[in-house]
Amino acid sequence: MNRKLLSLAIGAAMLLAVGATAQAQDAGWIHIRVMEDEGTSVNVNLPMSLISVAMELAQKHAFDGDMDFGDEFDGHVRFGGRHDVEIDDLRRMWAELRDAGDADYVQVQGDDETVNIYRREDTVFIEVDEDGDDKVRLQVPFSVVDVLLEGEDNELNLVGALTEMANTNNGEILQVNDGDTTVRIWIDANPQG
Amino acid sequence: MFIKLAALTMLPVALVGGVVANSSVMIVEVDADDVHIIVPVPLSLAQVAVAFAPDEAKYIQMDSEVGEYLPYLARFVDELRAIPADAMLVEVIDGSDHVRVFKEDDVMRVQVDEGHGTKVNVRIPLASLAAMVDAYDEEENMFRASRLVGALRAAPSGDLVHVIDGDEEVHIRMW
Repeated sequence: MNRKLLSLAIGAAMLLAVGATAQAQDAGWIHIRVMEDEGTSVNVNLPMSLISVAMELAQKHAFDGDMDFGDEFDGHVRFGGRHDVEIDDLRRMWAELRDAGDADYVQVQGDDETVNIYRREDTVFIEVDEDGDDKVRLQVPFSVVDVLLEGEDNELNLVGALTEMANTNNGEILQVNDGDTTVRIWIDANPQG
Repeated sequence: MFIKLAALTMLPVALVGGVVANSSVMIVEVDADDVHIIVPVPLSLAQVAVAFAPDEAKYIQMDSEVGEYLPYLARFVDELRAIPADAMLVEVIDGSDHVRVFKEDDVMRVQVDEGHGTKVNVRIPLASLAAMVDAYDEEENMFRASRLVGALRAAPSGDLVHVIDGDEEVHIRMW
């Protein structure tokens, strides 16, 4: 599998693990499906309640002060001082971008890769095209970024953002197609997805 | 006189026999090349034996961090017990390789089939996991071996571990 795609899937799964906590009380399930043309398939179904416990454990032991979930995880992640990007800066940038209307935010033309990030109406589109068939397409509703950046100081509302993502798209969190591989992550009430 | 002596001699044997008869027996079977080993372990007897063992064997000292993780393990067990009895949690198919993690009643099952002969089949009784957590003494940071053996007794009969790798086979089952 394409490494970038796999990284994206794992990253999304980690974010989901965080985000799932907020909905744990709904007894929902997170589903991750990875299908490759050559026949490989990955099928993961995890109850949110289980992930909620995992997140508490991670909160207590794994992040070692780099990310702070607070004494009781409330969906907000506070970043430590070792990061180059200040969330407050992102918040200010987003406020300006938000008021600018439709725009092309990022355009990168590399020898073998192009990256486009742009806004059309209430959606941010992220498109990565590599040589060959590799394509990543991610549509992020505007409201998701709003919720992600709400909060104070170096704090991101990951849970709120993912919940918003699921709410605005019938539980769909992420879909990636790169020609050979498809990744789908979603939330619903069905144990088998 | 002879009858009394015989009865007295047979008493320990009868006691042991009674204990074994009422006990779960864990059978460890190893089959590799020319070696074939079968070790039946009556768990009640093992519990009694541990009681008479030296302290090093009676108590299993752990790092203090273990005590911090065990409450989470207990909650994992609770959550796993709450999900449907036939829930499929993970399934990976990659060519002839097939990995499945699923729940079957009160048992978590892990099956790995590498297609070319290697097969791993593990059954983890949730009751045993819960009992294992209970076997931990938080104040002393240690497991009590007799209670760990007791945790195994909570396992239902059947396979616990079955590994086939070429000509080698390891089988641990409760009976």
